[in-house]
Amino acid sequence: MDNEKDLLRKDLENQNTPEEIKKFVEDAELLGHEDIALLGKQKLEVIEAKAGEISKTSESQVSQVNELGGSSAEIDKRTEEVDQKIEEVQKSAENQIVEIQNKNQEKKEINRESIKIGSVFKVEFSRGKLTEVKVLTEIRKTNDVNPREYVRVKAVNGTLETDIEIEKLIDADLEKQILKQKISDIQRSLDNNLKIKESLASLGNKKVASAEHLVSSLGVPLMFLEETNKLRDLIRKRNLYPRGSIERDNAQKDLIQFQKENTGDSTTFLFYPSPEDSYVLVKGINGPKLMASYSLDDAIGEIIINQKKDILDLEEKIQ
Amino acid sequence: MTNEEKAKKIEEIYNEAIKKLAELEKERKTIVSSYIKELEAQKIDAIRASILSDK
Repeated sequence: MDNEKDLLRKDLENQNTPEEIKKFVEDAELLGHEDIALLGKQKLEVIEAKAGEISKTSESQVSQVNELGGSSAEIDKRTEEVDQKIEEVQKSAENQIVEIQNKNQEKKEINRESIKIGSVFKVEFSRGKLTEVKVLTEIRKTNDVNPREYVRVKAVNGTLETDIEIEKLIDADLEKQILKQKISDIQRSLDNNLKIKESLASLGNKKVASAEHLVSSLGVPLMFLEETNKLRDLIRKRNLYPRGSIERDNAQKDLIQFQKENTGDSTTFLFYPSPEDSYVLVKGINGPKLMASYSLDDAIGEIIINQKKDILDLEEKIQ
Repeated sequence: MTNEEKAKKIEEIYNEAIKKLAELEKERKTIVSSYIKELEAQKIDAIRASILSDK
């Protein structure tokens, strides 16, 4: 994943107004599969943290109850039903997000003219594995109310013979080209991320460090400004309060003020940090003022692992 | 489904979940507050009863 996308993805975390969301959606075409996976993961982490937070009774209330002769057990009993609902909301969001993440990308429509007896295609019989098959018949139709078109196929390197709907046929050559292109894109991004990780590791306690290879996808060189937890703390503080509350609005103002002080611009990039990460601020050199935070470990590390895995999977598919 | 659509959909699910959680948070706080009020009322009743019995 390149830096520009990283910024955009993380920026989504902080969209509060319809205008901001619209702006994000316009930019979202730059998002890739791994961004969606990370986005879903981050959203679920926030939901989980929120659910955990509100399922607990505050210490002040517990001590108040105890002082008045009540008990924590009674609190648990009375809140059991609502706690159950909280858990259900969390689980339901998790199921829905996972379902969205697993939805297949739109496949290019296959050319019907190319489906002839003897032509070779690929079919995904089991998840992630493509099998080469040869077409044995002309296109036929089922007798259902909504007839589906299918052909009989036979595995090129096996004995399997079966009927398959024509939209499940994948053009072998086209697929190979797409996969090769994907590998090359991921590899380029992986090389860049490895350099970023190296640079982050060498940053140590330095307040300022340049990173010339750290270039956004638009070619804007970036540099590290400073290592900071301030940003994380401000966002964490804001997220403690429910949307629409005065406390959250005030915390958001503090956050924007911090952005202005550091970049002179309140419409800069920020993202939701996971609680334990450390961050550095980065900014474009001679480019539009950007500010973003890079996790020193988790974010880049996880992306690198996933990219290496994706490359191996894609290579396996090509073979 | 394209990645843009997925991102939008995830955002919708997230917003909906956070909204529901905020409502449930309010509901939970109300339950605990009611219990505290109940305990306070019991305490006041007990004090009142004790004063009356002293008389």
